[in-house]
Amino acid sequence: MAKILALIDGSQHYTESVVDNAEFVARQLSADVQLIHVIGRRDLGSAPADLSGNLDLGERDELLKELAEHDEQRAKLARKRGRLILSDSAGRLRENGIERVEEELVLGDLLEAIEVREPGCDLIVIGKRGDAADFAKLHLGSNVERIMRRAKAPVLIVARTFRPLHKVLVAYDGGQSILKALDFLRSSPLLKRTQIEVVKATNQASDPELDRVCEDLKGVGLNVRCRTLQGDVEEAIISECDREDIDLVVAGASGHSRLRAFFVGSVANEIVRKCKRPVLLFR
Amino acid sequence: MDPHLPRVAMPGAYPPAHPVVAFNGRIASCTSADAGNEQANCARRSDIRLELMFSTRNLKAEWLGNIRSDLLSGLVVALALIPEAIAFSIIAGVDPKVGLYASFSIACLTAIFGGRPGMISAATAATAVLMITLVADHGLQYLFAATVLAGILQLVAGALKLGDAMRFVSRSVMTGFVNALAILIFMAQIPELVGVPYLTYAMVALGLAIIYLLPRVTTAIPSPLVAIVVVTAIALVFGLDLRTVGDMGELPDSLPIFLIPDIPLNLETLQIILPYSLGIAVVGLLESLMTAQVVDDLTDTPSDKNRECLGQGVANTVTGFFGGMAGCAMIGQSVINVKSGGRTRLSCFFAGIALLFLIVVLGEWVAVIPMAALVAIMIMVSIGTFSWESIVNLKTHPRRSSLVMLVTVVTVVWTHNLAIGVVAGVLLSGIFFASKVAQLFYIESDLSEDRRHRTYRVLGQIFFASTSDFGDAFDFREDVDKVTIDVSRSHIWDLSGVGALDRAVLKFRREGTEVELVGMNEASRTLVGRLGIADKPDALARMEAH
Repeated sequence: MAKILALIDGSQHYTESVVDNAEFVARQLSADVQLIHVIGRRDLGSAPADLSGNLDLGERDELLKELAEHDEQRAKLARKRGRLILSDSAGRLRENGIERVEEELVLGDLLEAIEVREPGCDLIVIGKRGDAADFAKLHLGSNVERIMRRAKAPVLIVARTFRPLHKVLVAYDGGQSILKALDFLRSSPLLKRTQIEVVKATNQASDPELDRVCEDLKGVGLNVRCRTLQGDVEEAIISECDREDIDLVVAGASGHSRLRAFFVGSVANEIVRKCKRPVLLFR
Repeated sequence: MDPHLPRVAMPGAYPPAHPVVAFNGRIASCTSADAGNEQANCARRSDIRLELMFSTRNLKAEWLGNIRSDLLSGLVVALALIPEAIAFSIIAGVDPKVGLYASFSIACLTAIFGGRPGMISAATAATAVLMITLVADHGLQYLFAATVLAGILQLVAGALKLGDAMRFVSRSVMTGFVNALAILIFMAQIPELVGVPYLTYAMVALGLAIIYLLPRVTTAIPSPLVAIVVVTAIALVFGLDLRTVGDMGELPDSLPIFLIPDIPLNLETLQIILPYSLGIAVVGLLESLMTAQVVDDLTDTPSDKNRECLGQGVANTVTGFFGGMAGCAMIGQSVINVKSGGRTRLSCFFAGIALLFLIVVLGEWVAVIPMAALVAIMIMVSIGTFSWESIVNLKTHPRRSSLVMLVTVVTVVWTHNLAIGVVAGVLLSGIFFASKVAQLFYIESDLSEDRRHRTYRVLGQIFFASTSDFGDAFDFREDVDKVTIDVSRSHIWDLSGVGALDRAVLKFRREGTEVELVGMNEASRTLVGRLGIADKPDALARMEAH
């Protein structure tokens, strides 16, 4: 039985979009949906601050009591909120006919939560950024980046609004990760009925490798078109998305050394960041 | 969204203090000899740690996660550090400059290299009291050298992971440590309170009143700072004849510079400074690790104790070369920092920077501060450091625990050396523990039907503290042919235990009784096999040599 993990954080736009996308994917793959809401470490700076700078009798014990009470209240609130978010989303999925929905509230680190639940899971759905990240600056959520770097399963990083998948762009770069993506295309029912555009950024007008890939995909009955793109990889792909009205970008996460990725940011990272489309990422 | 709701599902907002600790639970599970599958996971986890250590995410969490509160609390701490650094310099018998520079340097370096974000380190009373005789007998340059050596010793301790040894310091010893520290800080103020004009007492009282009462009106400004400003203003306006900081020594008007301590580099120098360095290193680490624990508890976040040892080592080594005295973490200041909202490395770092700025810019003004204002602040620190609860607890806590605490306090106050007090406390708690475990020992026996064979069953721990009970439990003169000693429900821990068993076996043999040992567990057998002599040919001769 196929299974997808959907991570919801309760942020205004993305939660809805993650649920909608999860619903779409679950229907295509007839998969179980596991909804996860993670409550991480406490927020800094939320604690009360007393700048009086003096030490009273028994200050340490008093302060400990005060901080503990403060954390306790917030933790209770966070859990209550988490359960609400989960039951809301689960209710929505069930209303729309997805029957096997599991809800789970996780306390701890997001990445660890995923690592434990990843085995046996076919797809992870997550929003591009959480509550904290700034949409205006196109910053990705720090958790999204960590998941992109770590997750073994394909990760569907969704945009703010859900759109049904009619036209998909595959950013072919010949790397290990994108080969996995091609395997997925061949075997998974998810994109069987969509129009698939395979593109490769290169300076030549045609590319024999790309042609081979194209033939191969056509061979399994997919609706495929292949093209080469000129110029900078990221920009070419992003402008192609707009021109062709693409609904989903499929990309590989690796391709560069980790050192380069650390300083420059990987191509995949940039596509996720700048392209306002959902991205299906393989590692 | 309601701004009061926590931003859940963003653990990135506050990942654990240090990546090595972050996955602590998992690492522990890694070391267990689980399936091979687990090992692959372990490799991956160390990979994650590596990633975290160098990622911007970590930088954000440990430095920039709480900027506004950290800067504010750093400033509060810096303002509180000035009087303390001056006071501790005066305790050590050095120019206030030495303590002020040290506080700047130690605060900034431990912020970067330490293992406990949110903890404040600077020149401290605990280390200052150890330096008094060194400075008096040999001078300042030897203090700098001792500071460098103390730092190097702490680096070694960190490299050897001695931070883990903190578990031998019991809670009672820790309580004794902070109480002793509070008493030492208070005692250091006594010279400023004896044989001074009555006006001084009035000013100290005024200072204390402001420190404790102002927070009831407003908690937006540090009350110790207000106390200093008010007391200084009154002294200046009315032209009061009070001792000032300027009377205690010269204040710095320049930035600290690198210098190599001007001492002969020979064995004799090492002999002079090593005892001091050792004391400073031990006390510094003890107070730092203890304070780290306090901050861990207050903030409910983990810290890396061994990295903290290294951080203290780096700080002291470098500080010695910049003309500063040795220091360590400060319990009082760290509590003030947390109370003021400081949580990350930034607060301690900014406290150091702000301190340097204040002493260079305000140098002239610092000199006119009456000592009475500083004394008031130090009395507050002393009162705030003391664990008053421990006095109430004397009634309810186990007597032995209270005794350990009191012995620690008395030893420190007597020797003026926190390290000696802690050693005394740890030894005493060790002895008490041994004597308690020795009570977990019992021997029962029964005689066979034909009254020819007695079986002794030993239960509990056989080690140095229980050997005499062990020996007394056997009746060697009984008229039986055979004795069986069943040790299947006991454990032999040490040489004394092996010796006691040997002795019992040999004594039975000398009475002509046949002895059989049964049920020795694996560990005990290994020990007896290695050390025991009862079954070796020259057993009797050896026994005499015991």
